[in-house]
Order: sequence, then structure tokens, then C-alpha cells
Amino acid sequence: MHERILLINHLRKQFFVKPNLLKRGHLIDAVKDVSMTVYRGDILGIIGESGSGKTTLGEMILKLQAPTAGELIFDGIGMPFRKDVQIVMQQSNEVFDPLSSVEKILRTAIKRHHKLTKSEQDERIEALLSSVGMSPVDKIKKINQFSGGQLQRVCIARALAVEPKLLLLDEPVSALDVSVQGQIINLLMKLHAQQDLTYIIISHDLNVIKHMCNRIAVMKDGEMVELSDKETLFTAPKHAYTKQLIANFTL
Amino acid sequence: MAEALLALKAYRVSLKISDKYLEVIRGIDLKLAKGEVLGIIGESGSGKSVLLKTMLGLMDYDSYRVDSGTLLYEGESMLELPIKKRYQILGRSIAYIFQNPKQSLSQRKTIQYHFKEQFKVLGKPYDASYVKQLLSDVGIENQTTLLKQYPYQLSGGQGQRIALALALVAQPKVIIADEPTSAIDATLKLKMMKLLKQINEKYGTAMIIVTHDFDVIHHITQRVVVMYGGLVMNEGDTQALMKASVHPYTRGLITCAESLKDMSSTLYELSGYPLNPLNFKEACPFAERCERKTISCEAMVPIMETYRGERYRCCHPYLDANDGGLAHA
Ligand SMILES: Nc1ncnc2c1ncn2[C@@H]1O[C@H](COP(=O)(O)OP(=O)(O)OP(=O)(O)O)[C@@H](O)[C@H]1O
Ligand SMILES: Nc1ncnc2c1ncn2[C@@H]1O[C@H](COP(=O)(O)OP(=O)(O)OP(=O)(O)O)[C@@H](O)[C@H]1O
Ligand code: SF4
Ligand SMILES: [Mg+2]
Ligand SMILES: [Mg+2]
Repeated sequence: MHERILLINHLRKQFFVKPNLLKRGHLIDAVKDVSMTVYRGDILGIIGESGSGKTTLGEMILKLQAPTAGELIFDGIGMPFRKDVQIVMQQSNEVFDPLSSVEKILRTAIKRHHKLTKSEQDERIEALLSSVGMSPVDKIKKINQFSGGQLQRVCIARALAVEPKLLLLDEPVSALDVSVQGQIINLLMKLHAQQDLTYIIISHDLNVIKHMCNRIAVMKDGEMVELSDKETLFTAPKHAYTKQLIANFTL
Repeated sequence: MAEALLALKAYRVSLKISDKYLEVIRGIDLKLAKGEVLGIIGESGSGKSVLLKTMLGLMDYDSYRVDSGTLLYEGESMLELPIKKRYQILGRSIAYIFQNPKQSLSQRKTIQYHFKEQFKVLGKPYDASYVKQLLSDVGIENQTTLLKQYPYQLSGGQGQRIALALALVAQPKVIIADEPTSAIDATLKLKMMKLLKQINEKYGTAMIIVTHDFDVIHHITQRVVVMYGGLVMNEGDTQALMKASVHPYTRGLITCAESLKDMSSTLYELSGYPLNPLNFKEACPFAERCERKTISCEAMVPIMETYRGERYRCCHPYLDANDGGLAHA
């Protein structure tokens, strides 16, 4: 169980914001000095203030952002393979070409990693769609024709299409209505029980975190101020910010 | 009820999908009274965003068609007006916050530019201290830096808060917000809800809040509309509806929300999947998933009826005394 899958070592990310040549620039310390270990099979939650660096940290894990300093060691290897780490983004419509169809997106993902015949691909596409609560007839629709919640499901289907080892979920259900939230969470938990999957879940919804995670990290102002197992975090939070968060949550 | 500020009647909209029109909004009546805060909840894909965006003229003109309906704003009929004219009138007094606010801003312009634009539209000089006040009202502290950032450089929650601050510049008569708090933490959410409540009480600003978050519904709305499959299925006083709605779908949603809060190992699910507009039929849209379904539910779309002030669209509502409260309540 305690096999290490990801080691994060003194990771930092700075952004330099300078609207034009004449104006003075500003440095943003998005992630200051974060170290942690993720174990195989973990469902690790990341909570924290808006703007505290959660998405930036996630993007570095995915190699979507280059760290300013520090290192990431995945599965004992320096570089994660893109296939093994997949993401479900906070605003998933930023990721896709708005004019491509769901079918095309899923087919591309499947083709990249499996050699399947056309009809096997079709079967897989339909199975993936129904596993995230969508109808196979939706596959002809283009990305810009979906509602916010439907898009989130497309994104989960695509991430699962390549059978990743580590799935990073950035606010995976906040755009969904409560009935679909339950379905997606049940689905994610079922997949986790069946397959060799590790999740990192970024969420503001402490209900979701409490339901799904075994370990929880708390971020504030770019720093990881606390990392505990679930029981400890909810019963004996250490940092003042966590205490306040838990208090507002149980309100 | 106070005089209606905004009244939509028998509104039907079809969207253009690969050169064919598909009906998505199937006859909706909606009223917003002066000073009222109305919540809209409902299935993902039920048409909440399309309803509001087409009503305000904010969707691509050639991507949809209004099939029928009337829209009165302050007693004036809107839908007959050319869309640009309608947008002018509505845009002046109604602020709309998009579901993905970061994308609705222009990506090549800084946040400060967007604030300046708002003042320009109002014909007022830029007021830096007012902008700072608004930013701190929505919990943004590092204001100087943030004003210099571009929309794509904002975090999810920063984007939502900026969108609200931008909307407030004009002190609009109506705020319509599509999922304004989905990306922010509990502490900030509380702050934003308080702010909206305060604005409503102080200036009598009417609001329509689309949200999946039952906390938001509970805290700030007076009335709530429940949508499913392009129709309003249920409508009534927020507290009464949340406590004991007569509608099976509303009850199902509430049970789902409760189940998310407790720690049951598997969360409660409504059986089946949301209805796609491609599969709309002359039947109750919820029929495939409803526990109380009978044959008559599949024979026609139930009509809107009223019971103790609650409006519902259902042939077998929970009306008798035994059904009074929700099972889990
Ligand atoms: N591309 C970028 N350029 C400049 N600054 C950025 C960029 N991306 C993020 N930032 C800034 O870095 C900080 C951390 O942002 P990040 O998106 O990681 O926050 P977050 O914790 O995910 O917040 P939220 O919960 O609101 O999504 C914020 O202050 C944000 O404005
Ligand atoms: N531009 C578009 N072109 C074609 N179909 C669209 C378009 N936008 C939305 N739709 C479809 O119209 C229906 C209603 O979508 P809408 O975005 O209004 O849902 P919603 O109730 O806001 O859902 P959510 O809660 O997920 O945001 C959905 O079936 C969606 O797929
Ligand atoms: S009309 Fe029938 S199927 Fe529809 S909600 Fe009522 S009981 Fe259920
Ligand atoms: Mg984020
Ligand atoms: Mg929507």
C-alpha cells in the first residue's frame, strides 16, 4: 500500500505579470515551497483558499507548467509519462477545440494508446460515454454544444479513455447538479476500487473531500500549511485557516 | 406579489445543431418581482443557461431561434425589438454573470481595462478607489497585481469574483448570475452570499441566481424554480419547497444533496440519466427516472398546477397528508 507513486520536492512557481513594456511588473509567488509524497492508491485531497496555488501545483504535476524550482519524481522516474497522468480540469472547455466532436476527442485518446479496430473503438466510446452518464447519441455533438455539466463528463470520459495511473481532478463536480455529482463520485469511487488508480482531487467542496479522500493537504498563499489523514484533519485541524474552514463548513 | 419587473411567457427556443433546429426550451413562464431574489436549480443540460442567454440576447444570433413567447421588462415588450436594441435596453439595467466568466472577458485585455470599460459605458470617469472597494468586497486583497493580470492568468475563484465586481460597477437593477460561486471555498462563498444579500436589501436589486449549490439557494433566494428537460417542473417559496415539495424530481434532488452531506458509503443516485433534447417526447421528461411513474406520465407532458401556492408539473405529486414531509427530513 505504501508504495510511492509521486514525490514532490521543494516545488516553486513564480509568475511575472507585466501588462506592457511601460508598466512596472509584479511577481506572483503562486506556489512557494511545496513538498509531499503521494502513495499508490491514495485519494489525496487538496483544499485551500481561492488563489492559493492549487491549480498551479496540479499543472506542474502534469507538466503543463514548468516549475521555477524544485523537482517532481514520478514512479521513481524523473518525468511523468503524459499517458499515466491525466487531468480533469476546473474549466474543461478551455482544453478542447470547441468545434471537434466528442467522438473525435475520445477516438483520438483511445487510438493514441490502444490498437483497436474501428468497431472496438466505437464500442469503447459508447461504453465510456455511458459510464459517465451520457447518452451515446451525444457523440456527434461538438464541444460548444454542451452544457457546463455535460462537458465535465466528457472530460472525465476522455481522461479514463487512456487508462491512467494517476488522475488529477480539479473541481471535478462543482459544475454539476447534485444528482449528477453523486453519480460521478460513485463512478470515481467504483473505478478506484476496481482499478489501480491514484487520485489527487482539488476541491472547495468539503463534502466531496470528506467523502472521497484518505489524505488531505491544505494550501494557503502558495504554501502547504497542513497535510493530514482525513480523520485528523476534520477532528483536530492544526492551522488557523483550516480551523476556520472546518468551522464554516459545519455551519 | 409585487409588480413584475421581468416577465417571460410561453418561451420556446430551438438551437441550431448541424443545420437542424432542436427544441431546447419548451414553453417557460418566469416572473421576477421588483427586489426579489429568485433561484434556478435543475439538471445539468436542462436549459438554464440557454434560457437566460437567449432572453438577454447574449448568444450568437444565428445559433438559435425563438419559436414563441413574450418578454416584458418593466411592462415593455422586448422580443419584437431588433436584438441589438433589446440588448441595449436590457444591458443597461441588467448585469449578467456568465457561467465561465473568465472566457466571457477579452483575453488580450487586462482586468483593469475591463473595469475602465464599465465606467466608459456608464459615461463616468474611472474611479480607482471605488474599484478597490468592490475588489475588497469580493475578497481580493492583492489588488494592484490583480488589476494588471489578464483573464487567463486568474485562478478559477478569482475569475468568478472579478465577474461579480465588474457587474456591480454599474449598480444594475437586476443581477443575473449563472453559477457565481461554483469555484470558491466555503469562507468566500459565505462572504459573497452576504454581499449579494446586502446589495439586495440596500438597493432593492432583483436577482436571478442559477446554482447547483443548495446552501446558496437556502441562504439568499426567496423563491426557487426547478428545471428539467427544458421545462419548469416546480416552483415555489424556497423554504417551503426545500422542506416538502410535492414534486418527485425536486424531492430526488434534495435527497441527493442530503446524501452528499452525510457519510454514507455510496451516495444516493437518481436511477437513469439526464434527458437529452434529442430524446424529448410528449411525455413527462422525468418519466424514465421517476419512482412514481404510471402510464399516464408517458402519455403527455403534465400541465402546470398549483397547490398551496406551489406550482408543479406532475400527474402524481405528493399531495396527501402521509406524504407531507420528505422521507429523510
Ligand atoms: N498564467 C498565470 N500568470 C500569472 N499569474 C497566474 C497565472 N496562473 C495563476 N496565476 C496566479 O497564481 C495564483 C495561484 O493561482 P491558482 O490558479 O493556482 O489558484 P487556485 O488555488 O487554483 O485558486 P482557485 O481555487 O480560485 O481556482 C493566483 O494569484 C493567480 O492569479
Ligand atoms: N451552443 C449550443 N449549440 C447546441 N446545443 C447547445 C448549445 N449550448 C447548449 N446546448 C444544449 O442545450 C441544452 C441546454 O444547455 P444549457 O447550457 O442551457 O444547460 P444548463 O441547464 O445550463 O446546464 P448546466 O447546469 O450543466 O450548465 C443542452 O442539451 C446542451 O447540450
Ligand atoms: S408526471 Fe409522472 S413521471 Fe413525471 S414527475 Fe410526476 S409522477 Fe413522475
Ligand atoms: Mg483552481
Ligand atoms: Mg449552464
